[in-house]
Amino acid sequence: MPGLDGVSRIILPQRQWETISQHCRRKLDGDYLPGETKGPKACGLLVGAPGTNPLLVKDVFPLKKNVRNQEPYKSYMDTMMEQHAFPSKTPLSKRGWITDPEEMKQVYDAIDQDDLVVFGSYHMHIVPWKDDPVRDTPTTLDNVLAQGSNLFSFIVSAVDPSNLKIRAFYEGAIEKEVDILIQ
Amino acid sequence: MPKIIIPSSIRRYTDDLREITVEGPSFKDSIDELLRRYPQLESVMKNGSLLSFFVNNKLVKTGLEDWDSIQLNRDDEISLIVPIAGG
Repeated sequence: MPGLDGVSRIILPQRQWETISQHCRRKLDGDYLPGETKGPKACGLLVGAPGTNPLLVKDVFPLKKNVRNQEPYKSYMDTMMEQHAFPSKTPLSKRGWITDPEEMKQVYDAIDQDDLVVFGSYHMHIVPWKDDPVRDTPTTLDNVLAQGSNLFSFIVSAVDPSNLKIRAFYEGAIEKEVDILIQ
Repeated sequence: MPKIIIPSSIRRYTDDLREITVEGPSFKDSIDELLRRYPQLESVMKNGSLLSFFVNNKLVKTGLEDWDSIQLNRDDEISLIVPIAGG
């Protein structure tokens, strides 16, 4: 897949934005699917055709599982949390997420035949911080975890569930934000 | 010969190739050959404790240890999955 750092705009069709929004709201409401990790976290994958600018979101895959508290991921995330996470009212053990490899494999298998690629992931922030009340930007930890990924980090602000916002940052870097056009 | 399927996010390190055929015959030999041919993949392997490996669509290993225990046949397909994480 070509580097994505040259992308200047992302087009997010309304239908895909609805999928993301509904996923976030459903998790906030505690309405879980069978086999889904419980808790107010929502993350998923965005796919499209590589090498296009603007980059069109062709499909969105909400993910059900968060393996953050399973080994070997737990030890890794605990260490990363201790080193990079800002203090928050949410305990470190309940913060963070990692995609399940089997679920990711299913997505790759589904899109490979259409020559599409995973070019980003989304997750939501729900707790307002004193100096960041909207929480629509990546945290330091988001940035550290995304470095070298060649993926966009889409941050969904769900501080106000009735007014979700989404922004995109290449490799989770605030200075590498790309405009999203929802249409 | 075994094939290794590379996920799209790291194909920039493999000349944009999705599928790479290696000599094998063991799992470890296959991954070693992959890294020899595409040394930039080492940057992905540095957090290797989180990498997952599938053989013929079955998850066989997460991490970079105990590879000798993974059996590989001549026409097996290895898929590499790099997890995505956030805070």
